[in-house]
Amino acid sequence: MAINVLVVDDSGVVRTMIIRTLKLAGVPLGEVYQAANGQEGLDALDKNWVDLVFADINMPVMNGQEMIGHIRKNPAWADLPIIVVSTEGSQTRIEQLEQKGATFIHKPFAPEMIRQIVQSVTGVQA
Amino acid sequence: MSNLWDDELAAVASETFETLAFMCPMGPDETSDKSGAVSAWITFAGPFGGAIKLLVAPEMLTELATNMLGLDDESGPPTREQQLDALKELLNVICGNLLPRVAGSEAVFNVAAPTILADTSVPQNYASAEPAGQVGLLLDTGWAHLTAYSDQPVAQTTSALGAGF
Amino acid sequence: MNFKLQIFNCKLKSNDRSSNSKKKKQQKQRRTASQWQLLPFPATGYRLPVTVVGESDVKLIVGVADRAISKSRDDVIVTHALGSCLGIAVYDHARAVGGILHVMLPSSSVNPGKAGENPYMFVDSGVPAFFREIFAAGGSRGSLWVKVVGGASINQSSSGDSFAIGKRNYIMLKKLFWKNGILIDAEDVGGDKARTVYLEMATGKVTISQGGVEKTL
Repeated sequence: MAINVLVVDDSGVVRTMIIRTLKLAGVPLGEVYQAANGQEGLDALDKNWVDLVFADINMPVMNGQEMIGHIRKNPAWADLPIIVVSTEGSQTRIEQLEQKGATFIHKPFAPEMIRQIVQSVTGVQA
Repeated sequence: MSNLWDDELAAVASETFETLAFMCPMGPDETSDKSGAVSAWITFAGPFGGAIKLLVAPEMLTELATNMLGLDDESGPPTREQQLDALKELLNVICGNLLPRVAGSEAVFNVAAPTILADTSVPQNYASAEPAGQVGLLLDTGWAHLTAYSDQPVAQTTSALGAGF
Repeated sequence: MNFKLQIFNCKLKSNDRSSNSKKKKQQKQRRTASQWQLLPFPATGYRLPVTVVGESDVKLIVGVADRAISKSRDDVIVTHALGSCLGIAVYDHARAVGGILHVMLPSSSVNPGKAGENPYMFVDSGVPAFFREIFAAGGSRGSLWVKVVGGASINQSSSGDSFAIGKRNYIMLKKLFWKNGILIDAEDVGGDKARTVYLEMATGKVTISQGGVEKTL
């Protein structure tokens, strides 16, 4: 079953790296949507069916933590798998994100870590 | 005598170049000519504020972006936009990983989006500020210099590594 | 069943005077024939038939700056003395094609002539060559397990491991793998002790021995 993915990061290079890793890991990708900040991310979720979200934290316009807060307030997205990919080093903030049901991957990330986390979060064997 | 910022900046910068860009620091760099360098800038705010400036040799940008994107010969060289984006992300990762090391793992910072500076001068807010820490790295295909600024007084500590390495 | 540990060298004894000398000679000749069975690839690892307790394994030993590839489920491939060197074990679990590469240094740019003579000395020349051979032997990218061992910092001097060869080998490998779309399935790298790694062709199992302790990777 193909998975529709949304990648939210203000760096185009990082978005490319994450998408490339998903392809290398053999994740059955459907549509891949990209957004450069939290607001664009919410707009993409409004318009498209998404099965998995990758999100950075420090972004302009709307940061990732705020975006995740909005996502969890919407009943339609209450269980949407979210993987945070960030340099965030504050244990306080990481715990806040995990309490909102997000899984955290620290930058710089190894592609193997993305593969492992995607498998555990989605149950898809890549 | 180096301080905590020097040591941690050196360690984080080296680890980031190795892990994110697959570039190995060969040793400290103190002599490279910085004219023509490409400069990136990032600011942060939290328990204290500050900024980091990253200068790199211009000839390094192609390899930096190529390595981060995993481009092969058939993909063609990275665009200028990709090169600068790669540089900004490198600085973003260095900054994000440095802050818990100098401020502790409980401190919460907001890190602004990195920008490319028009030249190598320090932006106005920090133009006359004393750096909190500095490091110069010699890499396979060039060099990189980082200067960190902090609104907080810098703790002095003796490092067996010496300034930067 | 108990088997005596018997190691046959390429120089076999020819003056057996036991009462079963004819039978034993025939056995040795049969072993010699299989012992010298040429591999269908340009692999240069040398083959020793080794009989161990309870098993009948043929061990293919990979030296430094070398590789061995096998399509035989009877084989066990091994490489020793992985200090700063890297051992890359690859196994196609669908086709039982696999091998081990033992590389020494990160970049062939330090000695292109040497890389031309023996690409397996360097990560950036040896790894592509090794993978091409794996694919030529029938291995397929979609069913490969890739496991990496070594890259230690074996420091013999008081000044430290200033060249950090082990780490540089690993970084070069990661760069190559990222560029070529290879993900690592398991690794045991770094530290300060040498390792030995075994690849069992029957199952793809990779075992590491370090400091007398064995573990499966």
